[in-house]
Amino acid sequence: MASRITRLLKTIFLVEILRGLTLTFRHLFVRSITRQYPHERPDVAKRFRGVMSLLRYQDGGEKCVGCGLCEVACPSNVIKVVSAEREGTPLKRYAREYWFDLSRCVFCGFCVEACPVDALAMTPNYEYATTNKRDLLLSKETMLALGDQYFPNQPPKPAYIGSCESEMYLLSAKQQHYPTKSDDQG
Amino acid sequence: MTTLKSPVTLTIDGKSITVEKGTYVIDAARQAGIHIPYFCSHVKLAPDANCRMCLVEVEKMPKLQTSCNLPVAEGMVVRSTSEKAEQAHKSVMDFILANHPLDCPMCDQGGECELQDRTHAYSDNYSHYTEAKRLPEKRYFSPYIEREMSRCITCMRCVRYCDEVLDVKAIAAVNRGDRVEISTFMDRELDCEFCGGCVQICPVGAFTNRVALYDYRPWQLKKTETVCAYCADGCTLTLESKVSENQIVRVTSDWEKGRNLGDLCAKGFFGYHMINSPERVAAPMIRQDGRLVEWPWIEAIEAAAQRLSEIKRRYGAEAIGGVISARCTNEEAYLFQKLLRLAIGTPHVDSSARDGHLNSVRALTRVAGHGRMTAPYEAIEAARVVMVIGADLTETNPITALKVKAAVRKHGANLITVGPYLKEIGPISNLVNLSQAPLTVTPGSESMVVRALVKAVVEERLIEPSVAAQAQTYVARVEAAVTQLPWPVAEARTGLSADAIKAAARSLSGAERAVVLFGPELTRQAGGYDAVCALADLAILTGLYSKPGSGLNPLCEENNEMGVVEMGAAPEFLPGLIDVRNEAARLRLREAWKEELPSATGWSLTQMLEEARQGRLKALYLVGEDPLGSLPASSGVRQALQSLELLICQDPFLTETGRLAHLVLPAAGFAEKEGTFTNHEGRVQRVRRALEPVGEALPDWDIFGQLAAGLGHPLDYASAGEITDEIRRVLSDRPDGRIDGAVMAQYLADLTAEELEARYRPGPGAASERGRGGGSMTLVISQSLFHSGKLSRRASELMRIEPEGRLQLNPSDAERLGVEDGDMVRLRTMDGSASREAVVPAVRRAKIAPGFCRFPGHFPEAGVKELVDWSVDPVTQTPYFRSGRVMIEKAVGAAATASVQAAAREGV
Repeated sequence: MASRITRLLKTIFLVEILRGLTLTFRHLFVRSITRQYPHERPDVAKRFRGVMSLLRYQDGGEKCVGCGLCEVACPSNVIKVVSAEREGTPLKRYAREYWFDLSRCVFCGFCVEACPVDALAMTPNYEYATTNKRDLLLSKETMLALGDQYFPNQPPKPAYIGSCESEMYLLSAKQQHYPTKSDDQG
Repeated sequence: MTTLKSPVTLTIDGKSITVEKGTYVIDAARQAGIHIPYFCSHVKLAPDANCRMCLVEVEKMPKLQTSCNLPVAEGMVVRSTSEKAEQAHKSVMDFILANHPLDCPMCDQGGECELQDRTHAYSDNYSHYTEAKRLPEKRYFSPYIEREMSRCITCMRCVRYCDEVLDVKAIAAVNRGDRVEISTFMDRELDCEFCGGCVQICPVGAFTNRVALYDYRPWQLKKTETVCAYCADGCTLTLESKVSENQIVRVTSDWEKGRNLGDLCAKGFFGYHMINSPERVAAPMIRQDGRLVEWPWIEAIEAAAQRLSEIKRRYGAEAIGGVISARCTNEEAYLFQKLLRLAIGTPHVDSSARDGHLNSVRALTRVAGHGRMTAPYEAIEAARVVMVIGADLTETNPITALKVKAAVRKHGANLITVGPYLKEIGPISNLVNLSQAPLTVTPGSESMVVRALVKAVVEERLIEPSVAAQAQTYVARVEAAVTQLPWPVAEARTGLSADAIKAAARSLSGAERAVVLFGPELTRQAGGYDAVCALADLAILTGLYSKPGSGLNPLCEENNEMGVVEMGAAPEFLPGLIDVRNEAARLRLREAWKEELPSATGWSLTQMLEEARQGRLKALYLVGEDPLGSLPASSGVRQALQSLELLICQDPFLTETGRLAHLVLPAAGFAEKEGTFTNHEGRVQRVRRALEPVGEALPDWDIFGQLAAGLGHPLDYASAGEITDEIRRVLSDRPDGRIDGAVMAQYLADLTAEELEARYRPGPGAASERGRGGGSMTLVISQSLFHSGKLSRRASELMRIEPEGRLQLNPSDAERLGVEDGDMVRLRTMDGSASREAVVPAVRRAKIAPGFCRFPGHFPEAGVKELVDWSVDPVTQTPYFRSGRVMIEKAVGAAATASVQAAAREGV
């Protein structure tokens, strides 16, 4: 009985509305959460997983050796690597073509984890909406440009001592007569 | 389980196992399902125990033992997982990895590397080694095989394989300690057989395939196990392809599968580019106003059917003939002869096996009921005496040659080579080197050697006792016949002493197990049929047909020569090697097919060409055959083809004959179809589809089916497998490769004294036996290791290895002519007043006997085929166009290479 009277009184004096408006009025003095995108832009986390990019070493050389491990790690078949031997440098492997189908990417980051030479990095870029979906197929050049843009300060190439990736080794091989694939065919 | 001869029981890791005495512990463990790690051990090689990875603890032995070369002993207790053994594995891994670079991501072996796998399984994730790794100098090795010595773990598998299995010895270890490197003699560019064995056997990425360098990662490839389409050895290949690109990326072979057990030759390993060749015909073409124009399939088939029916209506079915290539599958050959015999109704069906192989099949079918090898590869390896007649086996059948090498090197067999060949240390292995008493004969006298061997067997009383007892009349007739051949004549013609021939005959008949292999220099030379008949006499008399483990083995060039003949693609044979004239057998076949088939014996390839010239053959259906490219102009092949009213060419490529055709139908290659091939042993092996056919190409059997439907006589099969089933059903009562005793008894009884006497009567003299031409040198058109027919000419890598035909001649002849390697020589023949000549580059080969020279037959544009004699076998209609007498001189000022000349000729 008493509770029914209380409810009636609350209804008459608009207690609930007042309580709700209190919250509303309180928020007039709180910093707003809604951002005025695109006038206001969020700060993304340091490890944000945005559009994929390819990196270079300090000297401008591509990090990617075209091993294709990103391709096999990818759960949604986004990446296609066409690797080849760098002309004039025996056994120097690189990605002649690198295709990244952004429209299928799930941003899991497995490719970055798989990369043995840290050539892949996910940029904080999330603004890749486009009116032409063909633009979402990124070429190697596009990805390298993204890398240059977002991760400009890269370390120099490690020495790779005792490997045919090392600079000393490549130089010694280059000094000798060593016909390239195209020489042979020509 | 099979019973063991002398069982030994031992315990490995607590598991008791019984194995054959002499088994190594590592193999015993494998049988027990226990994996002991190893690097240098390999199923193809003798144990070397140099990598030390397979160390195990053996009770009562103070030190750890290498299990790969430790024979089992009764009651032995082996532990491979004890603390001591595991510690040893870790230490060995640490040592091996000390110098191994971490370049797995860019190494082509990554993903299928034995070192990678063992590192994951047996190594600590830590290296004690902190100093700089060794870094050998990078040096150029070969355009086909890449060598990266920093990755080498010096297990020596490559060196051992090249020596033990191939007998080539192209590579060896130089320097010592951590400086050891695998290198060629004097560090020259690799020049060898290019079998790719070192690439396949390398456990790491020290040897990789430079042709496919960085084109793949192992996990991207679809693997299709099929049979090689080059020679008749019947090697099992794994075609590894990228599905998205519909391209073969590389070829490998499983060490434990197939007739070749993983061994390949250059054709198998590097010859796959012909499959994806840009020269493939992609769509049907019809001749319109003198030009070939692309045409839709349906209309092309309709046109073919309509024109064939018209010719049949106007001239009768007998005016139509067909020739199928021995590179087609059994199913296709079977359907082809059915199409011609039933749908068209002509008996004129032949195949490229006519070129030599029919000599063996005709002769051996008469003797033993079939033309297959009677000693399989295993028997060759286990034989005590192996005789190779008329074949430079390494060049003609490289994998069969490996079996012979294994017989000599592993099992100590006595090898007798018969041919105009000498010993030679060179980049390509030479069987003559393995022969203790090689018979180096006058070129072209191989058939005389065979007759002389029979004479020796008879005169020296070397006849197998059981044969002598059972076939007395036959033996007496042979004895009478060989008196026709006096020793002085045999000695003069063969260039051998009677004693040498008698010694060879003695070791052949005295052997517990003997195998005789014979090849093209017997079957493709004039008198080939008689030579094989004489060889069959030798086989009967020395007991090759009756002693277990012995046999007489014909060698084939094209991969399915054995199969197409057995499938009835020959005018004299119905499917199952049934003689066309055999009325009863034809009736049985009629029951099975429920149709009447032509009873006449048809025309062979050579007869068809002759009849076309005479205007009696009006239409010719060529499947994968190119007579214009392969036969010499003196055979009149061009006139024959030009006088046809209809020439249909069905081929993966546009051949020289195809350019004359009225209709060109694109056929699928061997990697694009299903079916079976029969190798020269008589093994029927599955061919599997690896790729989608190029363009609109279709498998041959599919085209035959469509054409039959167009002719109003449907031969409907949904798949090649349905044809296989029908063949099985129809031929279920045919013998399966065993010697037919009834046939042989019949042969021995029927053979007349006159025939035998004719067989052993020496010909009219040296001049006719050695051929016309009037020159001083004997020229033979031979086969090359790097080529097979003209198919390999479309394989870009094989064309890089051997881009042009070179005339091989003895250094002493070269010196007399003043010719260095690569110099151009002019070959000339005089035929009456007409003189023909060809200018080709020469190369010196110590292997070639003086007075002999040979030129690979895969380069028809060089014009050498126009210099040889043309004749046709009176019995088997086999065309002979592979030898002649030529004059050779140095071509002064002829700087143009053969390829330049070819280009000039094409322009004309």
